[in-house]
Amino acid sequence: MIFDRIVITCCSQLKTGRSVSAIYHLLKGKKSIQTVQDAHIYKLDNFYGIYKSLKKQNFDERIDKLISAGLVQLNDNSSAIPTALGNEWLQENPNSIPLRYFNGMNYSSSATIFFERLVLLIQTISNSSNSNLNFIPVVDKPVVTGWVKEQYYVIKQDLHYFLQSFYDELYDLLKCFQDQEASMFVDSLTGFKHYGMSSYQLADNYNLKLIDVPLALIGIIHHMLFTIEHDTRKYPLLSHIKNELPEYSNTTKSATKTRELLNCHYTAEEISIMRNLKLNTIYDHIVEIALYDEQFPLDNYIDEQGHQEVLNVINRLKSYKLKDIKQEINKEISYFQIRLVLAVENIT
Amino acid sequence: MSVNILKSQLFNQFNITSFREGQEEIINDVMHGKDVLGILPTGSGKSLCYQLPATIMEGVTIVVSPLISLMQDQVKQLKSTGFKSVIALNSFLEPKEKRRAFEHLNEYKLIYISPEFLQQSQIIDYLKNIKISLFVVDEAHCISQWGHEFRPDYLRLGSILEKVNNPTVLALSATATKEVQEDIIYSLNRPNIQKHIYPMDRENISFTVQKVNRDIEKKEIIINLLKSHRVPTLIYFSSKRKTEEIAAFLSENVPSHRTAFYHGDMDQLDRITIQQQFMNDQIDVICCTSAFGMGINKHNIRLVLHYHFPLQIESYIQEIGRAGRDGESSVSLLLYTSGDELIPNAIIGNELPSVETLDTIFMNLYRLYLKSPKFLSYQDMQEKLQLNETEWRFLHYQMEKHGMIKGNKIIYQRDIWNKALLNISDLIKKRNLLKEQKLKEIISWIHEEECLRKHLYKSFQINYKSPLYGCCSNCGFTINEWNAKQTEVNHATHNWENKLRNLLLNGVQNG
Repeated sequence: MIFDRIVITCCSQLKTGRSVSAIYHLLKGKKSIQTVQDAHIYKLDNFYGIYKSLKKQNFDERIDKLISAGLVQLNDNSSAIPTALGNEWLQENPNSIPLRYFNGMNYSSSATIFFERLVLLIQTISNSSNSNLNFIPVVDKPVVTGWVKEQYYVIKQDLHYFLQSFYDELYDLLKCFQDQEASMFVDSLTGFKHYGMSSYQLADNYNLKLIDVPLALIGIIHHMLFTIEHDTRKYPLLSHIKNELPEYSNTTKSATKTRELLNCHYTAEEISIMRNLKLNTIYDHIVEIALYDEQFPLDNYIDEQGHQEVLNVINRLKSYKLKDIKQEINKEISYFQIRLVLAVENIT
Repeated sequence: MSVNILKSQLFNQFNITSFREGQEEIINDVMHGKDVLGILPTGSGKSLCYQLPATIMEGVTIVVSPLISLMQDQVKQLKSTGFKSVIALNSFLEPKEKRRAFEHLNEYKLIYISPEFLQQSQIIDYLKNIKISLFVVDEAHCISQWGHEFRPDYLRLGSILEKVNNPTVLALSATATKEVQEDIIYSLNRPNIQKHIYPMDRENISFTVQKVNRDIEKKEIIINLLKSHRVPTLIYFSSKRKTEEIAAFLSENVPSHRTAFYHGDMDQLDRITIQQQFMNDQIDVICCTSAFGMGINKHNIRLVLHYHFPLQIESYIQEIGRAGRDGESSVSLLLYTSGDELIPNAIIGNELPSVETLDTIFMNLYRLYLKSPKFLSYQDMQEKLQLNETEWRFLHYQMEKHGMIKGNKIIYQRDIWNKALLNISDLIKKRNLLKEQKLKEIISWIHEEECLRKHLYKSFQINYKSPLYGCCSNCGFTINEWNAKQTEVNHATHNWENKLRNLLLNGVQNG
């Protein structure tokens, strides 16, 4: 249900502008400029990267089900829009997890690692407070186990104090949720002589579809991160887990390198030669940079008149499709310039 | 090595106070550098026979094991007991991890390795340069063409042993007939191997076979049985889909029991979760495929059901062997309905390339040869020939043996290819025939009218111990008269506040 809601909501935002696979890339959090730009333009930033474990096969199956149930309708260009029935369904079916919990653009990179740290930390302190240090960790990624080990060295100095304060914080935090949500979260946790529920078991116990389980948990985690962030004084320990997250910048590594060179006043053409990359790749980087950099010097790439012209065409066409815009516009304005305008306009 | 040192290490590292039958004898021999063939029944603690020496001996212990996922589970379990210098080398390893592992190979005490992985010449070069104190061939019956799980890769182990300077060998299996034992010794080229063969019959397990007319009756029987017995239970199926279907069915119809399913398509976290929940008695019943079991040290499994029967007696013996490791009365119930034999027939047909498609595969290979005799890799060849993993593993070995391919190169000689085609077809026919015989064997056991215990073990040993509890359904035992200790369940349902409290504050309160 959560999955279906999100997909139908995406369809109604994307309209005929993008194919359904754009939704897949959005949910997976694909680090391509197209996907990031889609998220901004179509106001779907909250769903960006909220389902990293989604498999294409499962996505396709669900889409087919929605189509055959008459909730969405597939167009010739393989875009999809919700039917009247689909819109009605959205109104009538309250969600188990409120969609407002999701904030993918802000939390997609930190949510998983926050959750994994939390889960492993709980397993570790629960076991060690029962004098057991021989357990199979539920998370075995070195970045997570290494971090928990470091924390544990400090915590064990005064384990009992930590357990009580940590419990109090988690309790307060979970009180901000519906009972059902809090309960599901706690059931997924593992401790001494107690293994948390698998995704199948959570689905079974909370009447969810299997495909919805990761979404429900991620939604809860995003809302946790949001709550912690807005009251860091109330949640010092949880803030600590959250704040020490390794830095993830929103721009890709390669784009970051391009930005460094731009800052040294090299041109796109020069950078392309220096880095032995296609010019179009460098253009992609620049669009990506423009998307996040509020100080982006658009004037360096297009003059005021061209900028205005692009906006006029968009207003007239009511479309963000590059092809449509390009056809209607002065031939001298390139695809690259149109994309830059789109990128800059959507954050200012 | 004195007995005391062994015992103290046994306790310190594994928290075990005494050896079980066979373990001490085998460990003593391998630690004195003797080659050993150990046939120990399922659940007797085979892995301890190399894990304990690995912690004591100088140098590295290599374990060749065919089951990758279980290998990873074992590594995790060992690490959780504090034995950290252990690693599993298999195709799932990231290139970066692999490189790091190779460069530090001699820092490990115990290295699990899959037979495919061992085919890479690179790893052999690395292994040549470290001190291998013990080379373990786990599931050694895979080496035999007469074995029930023949793996062509295993045939190469003999020559690999020579390349890595002939270390001490420990070949282990739970089920190997005389014939298979001879094959193991011959293939490893260890004529003077010390044999430690232990009987595999289980005196605390009662055998029952129940024939029904329709599939639905199986479900009814299971429901009634579970309603009257709440004991740790395994139900075996031959299809993954069916494990999920029946688990859902049981959750609905026997809501008092906590039921889960388990199969090889689940991801590792879910698999470990289910195993651990079962260990902690958080789950009563597991519907599973044969993927469940190895590495599970649950001592109080009371009931093993077979919704589908396995392909051969050997697998059946292993699966029921998971019951009653604590020596208490336990029961095996195999449910049969006519038509069940169609499933294993289909499975057998899919294991090797069929004789009919062999021609086409040869033609395709010839076409590829005309284009270019060289390949990028083993996988590249597999993709270009459009074969599945088991088919290609089998054919690759055969083609190499017949000189049709060498490394990543195709070598074409018409006579040789024609001869190879004949030989390989023959081999496939023989393999299939063997499997059909194995299948007939278990089917005729199911229909046996004499004592099931006697006929189950007859191809492995002459005698069997007299049963401690009921013998079998042919000797008058019925499951209705069975009294087993029931799992006690705390019925209090907790709200999340209490659960969170239990999770975090229980230890503090108790401590």
